[in-house]
Amino acid sequence: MVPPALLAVAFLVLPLAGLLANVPWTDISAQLRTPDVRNALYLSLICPIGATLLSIALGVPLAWLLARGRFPGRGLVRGLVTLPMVLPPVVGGVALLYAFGRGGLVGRWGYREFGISLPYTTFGVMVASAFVSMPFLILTVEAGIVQTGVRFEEAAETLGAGRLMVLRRITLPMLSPSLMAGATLCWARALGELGATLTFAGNLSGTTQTTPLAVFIALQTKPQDAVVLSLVLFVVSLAVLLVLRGRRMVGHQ
Amino acid sequence: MTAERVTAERDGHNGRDGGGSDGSAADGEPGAGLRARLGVSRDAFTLDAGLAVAPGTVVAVVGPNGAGKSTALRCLAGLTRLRTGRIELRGTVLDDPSTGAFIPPAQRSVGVMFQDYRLFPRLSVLDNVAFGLRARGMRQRPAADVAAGWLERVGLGGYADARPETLSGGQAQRVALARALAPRPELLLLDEPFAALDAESRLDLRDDLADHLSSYPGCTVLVTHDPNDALALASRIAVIDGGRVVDEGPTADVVASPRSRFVARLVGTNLVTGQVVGGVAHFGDLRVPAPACADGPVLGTVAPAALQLGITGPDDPPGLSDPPGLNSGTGDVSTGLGALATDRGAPAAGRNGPAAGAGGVCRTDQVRRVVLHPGFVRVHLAGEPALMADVPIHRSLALAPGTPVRVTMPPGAMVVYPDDAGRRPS
Repeated sequence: MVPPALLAVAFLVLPLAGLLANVPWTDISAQLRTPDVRNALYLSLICPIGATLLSIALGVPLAWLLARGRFPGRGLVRGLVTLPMVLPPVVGGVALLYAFGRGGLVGRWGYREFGISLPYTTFGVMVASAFVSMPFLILTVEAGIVQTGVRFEEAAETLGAGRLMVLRRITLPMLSPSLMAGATLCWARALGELGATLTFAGNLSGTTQTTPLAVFIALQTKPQDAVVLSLVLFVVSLAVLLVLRGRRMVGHQ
Repeated sequence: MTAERVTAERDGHNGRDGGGSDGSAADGEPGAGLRARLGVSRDAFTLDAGLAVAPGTVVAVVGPNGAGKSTALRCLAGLTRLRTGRIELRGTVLDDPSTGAFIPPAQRSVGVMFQDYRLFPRLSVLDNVAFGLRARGMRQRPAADVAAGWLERVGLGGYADARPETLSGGQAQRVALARALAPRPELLLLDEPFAALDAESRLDLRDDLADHLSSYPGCTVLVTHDPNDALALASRIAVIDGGRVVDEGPTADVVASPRSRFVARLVGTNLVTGQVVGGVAHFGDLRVPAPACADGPVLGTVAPAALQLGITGPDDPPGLSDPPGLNSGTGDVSTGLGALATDRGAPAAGRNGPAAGAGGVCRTDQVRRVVLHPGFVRVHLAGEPALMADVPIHRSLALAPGTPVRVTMPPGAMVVYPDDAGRRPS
């Protein structure tokens, strides 16, 4: 058991060591200030946040209904909305194009009536990221709601608490750990999004070229940029992992 | 239950304590206490139970799992809406499907202590107790003062800032009680208050709870499966089984002469059903004189300790059933029964065969099961009606499933009373 296990650890850790070994430590600050890199980092700051906010706004109510609602086809709905988790992101991007693109099911109408066109815009990046990352939030929050149950809300009701007080003092505080965990997972997934974003929103520097896309492009022309951007994503991911671990939201210690 | 207490045959209309109102909730002054008829149906389960609680008293609702006890409590709290019936608390209608009246839980003057306590995990102990006061509009400072007073009363003055998860089961129970009582509800609902506790702390906490309840002016409904809870805390018992009240009355009466197999099993007594014909009660092949009973369905109870067991000798014809009121048991008993005669708990019934005396009843039977209890062995018998008899451990060695035995019931050991379908005269 031990040799393959050690091999697995090496297999998972060595690439990271390879990345760190090639970081041009002395030039980092200069590398980070080139316009393309700065644009990419800026987009990777706002797009995952936008995707996460979109996911919270739509995903939390859905998670609530999946957890508490009693309607026919609940299992089917849950299956459908979590499909993007296993769907190849490129397929997701193509699907988004034919739904929200100028010629798409909904996009056609939006473009004709309001002149709105999502593809190749920064908001399009957020939409594509939300498509692949929202299921993480939905499933996490739904599990949190199910686990919390109605026990404490009932107790609060019998003590005279109205709906608003129950929501403010009981439901939201009880839900905040799973909401935080779900939002973090969602955000992390959106941060690394490549396939759906590239397909749906393209690769326009300053508009839709997020860090993962910039890494992918830079690797062919300016490998040093790729390494530095990768380092940034690596550090951010490590920080996310530490935050999640610290809050004991994932895994068992 | 000793033989002295149950010697007299009662007709069921004498010797019962008065007090309280009838289980049908039909009487009692209007406007006083709780009067409820709870009708709920869900899936295959139907609850249809009447409940009446006078102010300052405790009614224990007992019954087997799934009998509808918790559903009844949820209805009273407003967490489950009635399908039929009506709940009235001190003259205010809380729920009445026929008129559409429904007061939601938050607006009822009801305090609930849940079986799992449900202390809010993200609030301090003090904030838990203050929650109901804050919810009812009291300002933070006075609410905290009142809550601190309640913590003091339940002996947890030093735990105001503690988190619920750091409390022991007994402490959590007392916080839950303080939280339920702090808003001074008119109705207090206790759902299995000791179920989450170990046997040790249960006894002390039961005494504590009895103290708190004795100074509580409102109505209390206690749901429990433990007759000791009911004995220690409640003045009346309502037995629910299959969603219906099958017995209701003063605690002592219900325990002393149970009308339901559930209570009989809880208090560890034999309950048999039969018919009286001409002053003799027929319980299967058992015939017991019951001169005071009118003809009709009757119940009989006899303590397992009052029954005497003997291993039947080869001379005894199997299946012998002695006629009532005859002396015939004596001779057989002295040959084999004496050695096994019970000597636990029934001094007046006599320890040995000859004490079976006039009026004793004998039958041959077979051991079905032998269960060891602290200090004695309970022998379950195979005959009909099924009886249990207690035997000292050192005399039980010869008994095994299938062993033929002779059961002797001393005269007066069985109490016979009319089976009037759960109605106890008040």
